[in-house]
Amino acid sequence: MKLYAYFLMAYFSLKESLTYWKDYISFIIFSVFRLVLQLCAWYALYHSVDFSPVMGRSYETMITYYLVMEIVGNFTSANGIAGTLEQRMSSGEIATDMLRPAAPRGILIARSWGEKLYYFIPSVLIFFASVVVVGGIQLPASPGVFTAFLLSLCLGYLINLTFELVMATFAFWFVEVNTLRWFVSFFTALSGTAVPLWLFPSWLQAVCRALPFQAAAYIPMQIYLGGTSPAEIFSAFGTQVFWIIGLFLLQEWLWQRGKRRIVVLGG
Amino acid sequence: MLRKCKMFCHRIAWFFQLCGMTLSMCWRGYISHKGWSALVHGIGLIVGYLGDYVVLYSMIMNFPGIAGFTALDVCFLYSMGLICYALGNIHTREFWKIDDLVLRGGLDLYLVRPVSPLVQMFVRDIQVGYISHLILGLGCMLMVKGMSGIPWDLTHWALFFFSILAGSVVMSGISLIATPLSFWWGKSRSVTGFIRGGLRGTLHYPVTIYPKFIQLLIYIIPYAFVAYYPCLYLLGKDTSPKAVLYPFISMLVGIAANFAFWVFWRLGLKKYNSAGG
Repeated sequence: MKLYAYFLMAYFSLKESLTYWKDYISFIIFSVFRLVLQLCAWYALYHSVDFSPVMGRSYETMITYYLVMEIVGNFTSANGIAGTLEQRMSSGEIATDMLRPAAPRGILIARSWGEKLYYFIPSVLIFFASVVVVGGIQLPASPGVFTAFLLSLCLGYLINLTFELVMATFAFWFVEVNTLRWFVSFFTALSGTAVPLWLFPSWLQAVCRALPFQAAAYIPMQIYLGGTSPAEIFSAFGTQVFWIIGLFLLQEWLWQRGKRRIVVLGG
Repeated sequence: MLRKCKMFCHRIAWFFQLCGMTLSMCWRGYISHKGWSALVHGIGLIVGYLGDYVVLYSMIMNFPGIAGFTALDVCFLYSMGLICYALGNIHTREFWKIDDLVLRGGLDLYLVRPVSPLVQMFVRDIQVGYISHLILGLGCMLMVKGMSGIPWDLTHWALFFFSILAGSVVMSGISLIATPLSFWWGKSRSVTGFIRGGLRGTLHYPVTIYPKFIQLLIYIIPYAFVAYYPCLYLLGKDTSPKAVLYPFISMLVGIAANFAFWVFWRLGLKKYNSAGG
């Protein structure tokens, strides 16, 4: 019953976003443009080396990385949860959420799924259109690798989700989590979503590997491209599960302490 | 005639006085409301943008360059874009909420007052927090200038400051130009978001890397005039006498973009129907 309620919340959130369909169509068109802009930059960079491999990766691999990352990035993203909680804390609406017969975090996640689908559906359509137009996109080596990629993708989403919930819980203490997000954005820039980690200097790669962000998007991409051997795939899953459990426990601990601090004024 | 001139000067003086008062009010409000967290927020912004520099530099370092621009040159372009973005958007933040203002009728508040709604909205939410962008952008630009070893004479310095001014005027026009779409569509978040954010990526790279139709687009939505053209002379990429004129052309383009916004806004305002009650 509760699951159905969450499903409805996600559905209504998506429906609300789709009400302004002109805005949605322009979003799709502009997403294509954004993709083309970045592809132009990669083309120009590889053109400067006559399309010879750089750091052992060919131009085709780079284009595949970038196009598939559009889907990976959109699917694994859990952005918006912390912002929504911050907003509901400031307006006092959090009190209503706490009184509802559903978990407040469940409500936040369900609503974020509505928003997520809004962005995810076009990204998949654009990906298939790009495969047709650009061509030469590398496919996973085998169905087994593809299955591992899909599983890793789901784990990647859970990493980002638990991390976003950790960020959200800070709203109980700071009210404004935006500042914290700016500090974190330094590290999320190094997650591999914008530029693959193999282009970073080795010391920076080591720093990135010690953080959860690369586990969310870069690990699935490495599996997709065949950069992870079958034996390493299990260790990659292990890394992802480690971050999920660690971040889940942290957010649970923070949430239990944070919710006692809620003070809502007015009536 | 003299009387009209006097009135015009009086209005201009009043506008700047209003800007000064609002700036001081916003600054005091920002510091007293946020206190130390304002400083922490400022540092957070600098740290966040540093991540972009690291990514951009690491990406291009692995290649000889991009269309004749080295990684350092690209960082210079990025910094110019960052500074112009900050200066050009100091007064535009209220327009970012135009969807809500139109859909919920919040614009009524500006229309019933005896001052132009445009002026009120310009000074409503002045962004003093952009000082972080300026510190980081200027710091990085001067660092890149030192590292690249290009000698700058007085002309370079004069053009440097004028380019920042011109780029900021262009940026202001870009940020504002699509906002009146909300009067027709209700929501214009995607279009304004794309113009303000999606196309902003073109500031980082030389214009010549893009195909003709995209080049045309960034001449129409004039991102090419924010950083690329004004920086050509400063980076020594074009030392011909005509390159000195690019910042001046940018300024003209910026004025035209702001004028186009003004016309579009006036048309949109006629279309506005209040909502709520």
